[in-house]
Amino acid sequence: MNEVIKVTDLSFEYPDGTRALNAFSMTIFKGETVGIIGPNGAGKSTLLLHLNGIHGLDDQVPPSVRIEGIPVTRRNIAEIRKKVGIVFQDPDDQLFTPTVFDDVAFGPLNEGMRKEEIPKIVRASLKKVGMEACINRTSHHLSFGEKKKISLATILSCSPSILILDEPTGNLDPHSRREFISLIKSLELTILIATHDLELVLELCHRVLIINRGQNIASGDSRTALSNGPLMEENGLEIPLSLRT
Amino acid sequence: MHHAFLDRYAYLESFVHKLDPRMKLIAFFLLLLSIVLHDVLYPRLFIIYAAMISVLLFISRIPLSFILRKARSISLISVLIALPLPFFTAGEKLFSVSLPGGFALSISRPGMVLFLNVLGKSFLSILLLILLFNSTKFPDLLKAFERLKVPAVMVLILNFFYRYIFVLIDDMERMLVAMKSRGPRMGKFALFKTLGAILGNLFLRSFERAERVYMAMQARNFNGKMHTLQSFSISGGDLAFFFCVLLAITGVRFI
Amino acid sequence: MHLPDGYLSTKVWIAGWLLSGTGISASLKQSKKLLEERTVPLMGLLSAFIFAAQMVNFPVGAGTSGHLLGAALAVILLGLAPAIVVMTTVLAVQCFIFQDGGLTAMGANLFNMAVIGPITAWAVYRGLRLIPGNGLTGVMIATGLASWCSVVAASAACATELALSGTIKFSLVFPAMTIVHMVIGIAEGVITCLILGFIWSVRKDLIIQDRGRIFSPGPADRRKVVVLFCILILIVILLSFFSSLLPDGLEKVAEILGFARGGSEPSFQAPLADYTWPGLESVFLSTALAGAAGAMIMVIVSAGIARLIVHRKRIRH
Repeated sequence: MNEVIKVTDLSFEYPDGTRALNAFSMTIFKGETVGIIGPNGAGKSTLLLHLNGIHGLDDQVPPSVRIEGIPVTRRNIAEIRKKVGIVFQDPDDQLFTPTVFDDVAFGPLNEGMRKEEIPKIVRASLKKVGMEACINRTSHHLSFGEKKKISLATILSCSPSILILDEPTGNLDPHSRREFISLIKSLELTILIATHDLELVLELCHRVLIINRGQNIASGDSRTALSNGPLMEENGLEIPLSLRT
Repeated sequence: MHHAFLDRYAYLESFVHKLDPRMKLIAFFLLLLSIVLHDVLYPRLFIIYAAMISVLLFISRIPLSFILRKARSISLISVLIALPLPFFTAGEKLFSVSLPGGFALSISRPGMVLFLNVLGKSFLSILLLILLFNSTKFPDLLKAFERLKVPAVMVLILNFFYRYIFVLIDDMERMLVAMKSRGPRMGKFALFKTLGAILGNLFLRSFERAERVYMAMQARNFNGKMHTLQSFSISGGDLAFFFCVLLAITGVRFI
Repeated sequence: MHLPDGYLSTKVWIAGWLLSGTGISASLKQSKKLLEERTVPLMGLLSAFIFAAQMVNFPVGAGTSGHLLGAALAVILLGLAPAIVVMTTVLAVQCFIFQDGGLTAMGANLFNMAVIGPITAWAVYRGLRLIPGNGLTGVMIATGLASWCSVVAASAACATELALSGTIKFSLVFPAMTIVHMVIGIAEGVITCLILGFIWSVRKDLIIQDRGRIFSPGPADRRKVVVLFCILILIVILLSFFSSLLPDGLEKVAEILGFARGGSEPSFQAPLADYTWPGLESVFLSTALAGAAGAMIMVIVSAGIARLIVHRKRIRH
């Protein structure tokens, strides 16, 4: 199965009438790291929430999202959420238990993993993000950068095959940002990154996808797309500094 | 962000701190019950209980100034409620003062007894509670509650409360700082209206954050049931302490 | 009015636990039905909100400041059952963190502030919102009065518990506590109105508009509300009646039922005329007058707040 994410003609309207997605389509292939960029309000976050079934679980409409071939429906939701892990923007939204251990253990516990196995998984996930020392700390004592890394650990402990990151480098200081980038580079998963950080996209993503007004405007090689002045301007973006000659 | 109002002395290392939270909770509660259930708290009983609590306080290494400060602020209201007692309870009058206008203010013996009883009991129990809750980390307290069969939903809600109270306080402080930075002092009504707006804002943010947290829970396969991995163990020290407390509260009844 | 341990007799504080226990578990069940999986994060966060809101100082003047209790705010924004759960959490935490309120007395404290408070606020608010009209003034008056009543009702319950325990005579503690809280209630009303005023201008949909709320499964059952409202008025009348015609009636009841501690205490047997408030012949009259005055002040202040909010809005546009 090479097409790990397939979105076909996805449309979505919020209860107050705003149309967030307009016949959006995209295909993501196994092992890719793809950047999703676009102006604020383009529909990035809404799109991401469809990929693990938080939005769009409407049983009447034929499912427009398939993860590794499996349609995202209410029946398959547990399986889908095992495969897809989303790290949200605000780590305070993701670290909702009193201790770091409890947070990283949350996912595996809900997936029915045996209680004896949990401490091992927790330690391994924290090791991957370099935060094992914090295993018994309380979340609110940590710095923003530390919380971000632990948020990632809480998803890695679920062993997803697809990792989705929403603004991973927002508000990070340069050192933490660098650490986070190396972390992502070390992961061998299919990765989707929704971000404003265009330099990040250049560094990590083979491919980039531009979303605007709920539609898939363009997708292609990162360097090429990001150097395209008119394309960038039209979509509320600009050519990143490193590409300007 | 560190907030000193919570867990300030909960991370000390003392025998009291290291007691198994469940045993500690039950033992302290039994002690509390013992104090409250005396119909009359005779002076000798008061002294015995005070001695017991003082020993525990000493072992816990929590600063006395901290404890007394806490006790004082709570006791103030208690004293206020109890104040009428010596004056308005019928019985043998201890001493009387005539006031202009033909009124007589008198203190009665039963009134004084009741007054001292009520104050004594509440003071001792306040000290006990201060000791209990300041020698136990909040997450451990909640885990103990869960183990002691407090309804799981309630414990979980408390967990979430604990997790997010600091986030909310930070949000609120930021808004208050922004308000104060707006320059010259505002009139009373403007100030009140802004405080109202800050709190209204805080409500909306809390509400929206709750939605996002729920989404994050769903993303990790939350299906309504919350699991916990509790890791308490009872040691010899815990059992010895519990036994001592039981001994004390039974012994006291024979004095 | 967080009672410490030692003030209530055994039967009273046990009764307090039983009453609040039933009320709270019923509310937990109802909340879970309404909110399902959202219950835990939502209730947790909103409890933190009320707690944080209680920490804000509203400087009243002369060195004093007012604080929010929050029962009415919780009810108006969340509905009755979730509000009871939220207030329970807040009060529990106040005991655990600040040791405000005793552990044996917690049942009674919860009953007063987390059950009676919200129920009163709910009945008054819903009752007043039966009057048609969705203007800010109507909402503010309902809010202000509901907040005021919740504080007074909670204090009345507290006073009754103290009297039943034999700690203080009913004819003394009831007027004292309720009148003091009638003043405090005004502050509660003002603060709640200001907060709600803000939310009304930003997210009107979150406030009751007589078509239910985001949490409610359906529209308000008018009959239920009217009945509860009437029961409330009846209770108020009965209590005032007790406190006037039979100043020690409640204590007699307490004695008969054995609520008061140790029957040997002589202080609670004979009524003694010189031990009521000097100068006030009829306790009933004084309390009732204070209540009427307080309620009227609350209405006027609430309407005033509504006026000022609307006025300022007009200036800005």
